[in-house]
Amino acid sequence: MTTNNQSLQPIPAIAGSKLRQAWLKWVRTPANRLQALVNGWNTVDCAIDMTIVLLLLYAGNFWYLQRPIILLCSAAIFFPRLRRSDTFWLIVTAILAASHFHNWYLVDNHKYLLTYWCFALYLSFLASDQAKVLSVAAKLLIGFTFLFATLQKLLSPDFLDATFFQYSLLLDERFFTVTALFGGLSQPEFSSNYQALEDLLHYASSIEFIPMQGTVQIRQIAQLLTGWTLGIEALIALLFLMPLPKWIAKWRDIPLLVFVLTTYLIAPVIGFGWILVIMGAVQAELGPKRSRFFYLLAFFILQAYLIPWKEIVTSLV
Amino acid sequence: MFSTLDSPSARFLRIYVILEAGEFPVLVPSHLIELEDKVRAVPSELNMRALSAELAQSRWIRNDGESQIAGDSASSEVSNSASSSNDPPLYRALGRDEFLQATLVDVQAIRVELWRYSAVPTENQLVATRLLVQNTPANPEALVE
Repeated sequence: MTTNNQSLQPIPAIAGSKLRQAWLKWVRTPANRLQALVNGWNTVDCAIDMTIVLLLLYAGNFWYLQRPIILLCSAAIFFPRLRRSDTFWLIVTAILAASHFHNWYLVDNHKYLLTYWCFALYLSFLASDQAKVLSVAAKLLIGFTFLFATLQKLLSPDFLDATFFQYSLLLDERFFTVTALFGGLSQPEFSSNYQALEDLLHYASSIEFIPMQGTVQIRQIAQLLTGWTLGIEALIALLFLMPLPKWIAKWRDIPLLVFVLTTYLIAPVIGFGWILVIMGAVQAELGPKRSRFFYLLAFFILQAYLIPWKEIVTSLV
Repeated sequence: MFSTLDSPSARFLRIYVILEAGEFPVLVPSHLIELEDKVRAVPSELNMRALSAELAQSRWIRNDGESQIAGDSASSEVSNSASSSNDPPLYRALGRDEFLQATLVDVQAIRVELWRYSAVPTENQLVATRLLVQNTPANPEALVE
C-alpha cells in the first residue's frame, strides 16, 4: 500500500507543477518583456514621450492654450528632433505660463505643476547630465507638491476635523460610489442634499442654512479618509525630500503609486495623476529602475478609471 | 489638492437691483462672468467694487416679455449657473451686443453681496455667511459703501 501510494503521489504533483510553470510562463513572459522594455527606456525619452501625451490630452481647454499646444505636440510626434530641442520646451512653457497668467483665477493647481515640469524639461537641456537633472527635478517637484499639500491640510481646521471629507461625501458626485457603498446613503438622500445646496446657491435664494442628510458611517469614513490622506501625503513628502538611507529611500515609489491609484480612483483628476506618474517614472532613475514599469502601468490604469464601468455592467446585466 | 471647503465654489453672489418698487434678485450677465469668477476666487473689496460698478453701468430691462428686445444671441445672455429652477429673474442686464427696442428700467442702485457656505459638522448643516456687501448707485460716478 505504501509503495502504491508513493508511486501515485508524484503524478498530480508533476501535473500541478507543469500547470504552474505554464501559467507562470504565460504571465511572466510578456510582463518580463515589458519590464525589460521599460528598463531600457532612456530617462529623457521617458519624460518627453509621456509629457507630450499629457500635454495633448490635459494641457487645458482655452483655445489659445489648446490649439498651439496640439499643433506643437503633434509636430513633435512627427519630428523627433523637435521634441528633443530646448526651444520646443521653452515655447511650450511660455504658452502654458501665459495662459495660466491670464486665467489665474480659474486654473487648477496641477496646471501650475505641469508648467513647472515643462520648465524643468527645458532647463534639463542646458545641463551636461540631462537625465540626472530631470530625475532630481522630478523628485523635488513631487516632494514639494506633497509637502505643501500636507502643510495646507494641517492649516485647515475644516480638514483636520474631517468636515471637508464629510461634506465631500455628502455633496460631491465623484464620491457618491463610496458614500453609497460604505456610508449607507441612498441616491434620493444624496440627491436631496445636492438639491438643498442648489437651493442655497439659487440667485433668488434668501436661505442662510440648509440641513444635510448624513449617517454615522459617513462621518467615520470621513475621519478615515482624513487620516489616510494626511498620513500618505506626509510620508511621500518625507520620502522624496529627506536625505534617507538607500534601504529606506528605495521604497518611496510604493506610497506614491498607492496614492495615485487610490486617490484618482475616487476623484478622477487624471491630468494630475498623470503628472505625478510621469515625474515618478522619471525620478526612478535615482532608485530602483524597475519601479518605472509600475508607473507606466499606473499611467494606463488611470485612463482605465474613466471607462464607464458601471454603465457597461448595468447594460450587460 | 483637497484641503478645505473654503474655495471659490463655496463662495457665491446674491445681487439685487434696487428700484422704486423695491429690490429684486438678478443674475450676473454673461459678459461679467469673468469678473464674478474673480470675486469668488479673491473675495476682496476691490473686486467687489469693480463688479458692482460694472453692474451699475449696465442697462437693465424687464425680463418677462413686457419689454420686447431685439438683438443677437446675447438676448439670452444671462448666467444660469447658480440657478436650479427655471424661473428667470424679473430683470436682466442687456448684453453688450444687444440693442434696445423698449424702455429701460429706472434702476436706482445695485447691491452685490458675497456669501460663503461652510459646514457645521455636529449639526449636519451648511451655513451661509455674508462676507462682503457693495452698494453702488446706478450713477456710477459716486460709489457708496
